[in-house]
Amino acid sequence: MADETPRYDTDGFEEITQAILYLVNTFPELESGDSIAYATLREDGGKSLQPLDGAVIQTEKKYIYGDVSQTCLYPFYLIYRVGRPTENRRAAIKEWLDKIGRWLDRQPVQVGGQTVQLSAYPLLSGSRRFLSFDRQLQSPAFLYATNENGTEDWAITLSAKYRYDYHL
Amino acid sequence: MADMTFNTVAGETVARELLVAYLNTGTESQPVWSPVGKRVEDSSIAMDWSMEQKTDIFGNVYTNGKKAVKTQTFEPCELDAGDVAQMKIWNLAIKDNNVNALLNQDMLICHLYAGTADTAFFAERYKSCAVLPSGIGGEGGGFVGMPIDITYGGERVVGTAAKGSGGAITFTPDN
Repeated sequence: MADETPRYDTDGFEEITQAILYLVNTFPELESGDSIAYATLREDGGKSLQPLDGAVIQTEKKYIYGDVSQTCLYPFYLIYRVGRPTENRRAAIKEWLDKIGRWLDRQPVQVGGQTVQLSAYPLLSGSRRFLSFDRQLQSPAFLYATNENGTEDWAITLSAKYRYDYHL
Repeated sequence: MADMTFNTVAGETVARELLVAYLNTGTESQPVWSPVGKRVEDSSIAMDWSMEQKTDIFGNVYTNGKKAVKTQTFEPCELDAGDVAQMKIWNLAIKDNNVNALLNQDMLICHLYAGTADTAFFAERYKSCAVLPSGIGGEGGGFVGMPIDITYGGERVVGTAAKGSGGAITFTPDN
């Protein structure tokens, strides 16, 4: 029976988390003084990056003279909490989340009347490097939760794909 | 050369990374052995013994052969600035189109599992190998690959090799 237990790049998780957090906080449509926090949200609002799971090793190739190349996935939510929004506000938040998703995918997006495009992903230490940021299931932003205090959490799901090469 | 034993644990199979082909990216007198096959998952040395069978008048079958012609393919061999061997082949094949040089390459096959591990393992040097890329390219969104076909040839020198710090290989021919 095939071993289907997922394996994780535990050593890379912290660095990947910090790199993604840094990257999303450079989104051009993030207003001055605003930021995306890690795994925390205020009760009345805010933006947060929340990992779904650890950094999963999706594929592993072993090469003939001992090198190993892993392709890893780091799935995460970007959550936008807002208090009692109007329909127009909901639409604007959904568009904001979809836009950051497209921007992370290095697609051109419109910000302040100008077309901007992410030129490169952050460099990682050692032999890890980002390959892409993909929308999970290609789904648009969605209502993630409605909270008791009337706030709403909107979210997109993304997955950072990166490669890790090392020698046995 | 006396028979050698394997330096691996009895009962365990020998790991693939203990058989490595190196290209001389230095000179004949001061060779620098650079491994061939970065990011290649599967590659084997094919051995053609040119066998012929005949049946004599008594009904007995005899087989004749010749020393094996050894060939090996490495693919996809994605281009990588850190792959010294591949860069040398690229320069000779793509930049210079120098077929004569490509047909006269110096290769060392290291059998790290045979002999004394790390310090005196069996190695065989072929001084006039044909090292020929079979193409260059790849699919959209992927990587540039340059698969390579090698025919080991020329003078065959056997001996032992040692692996030093940083993976540097030194070859000592057998007397």
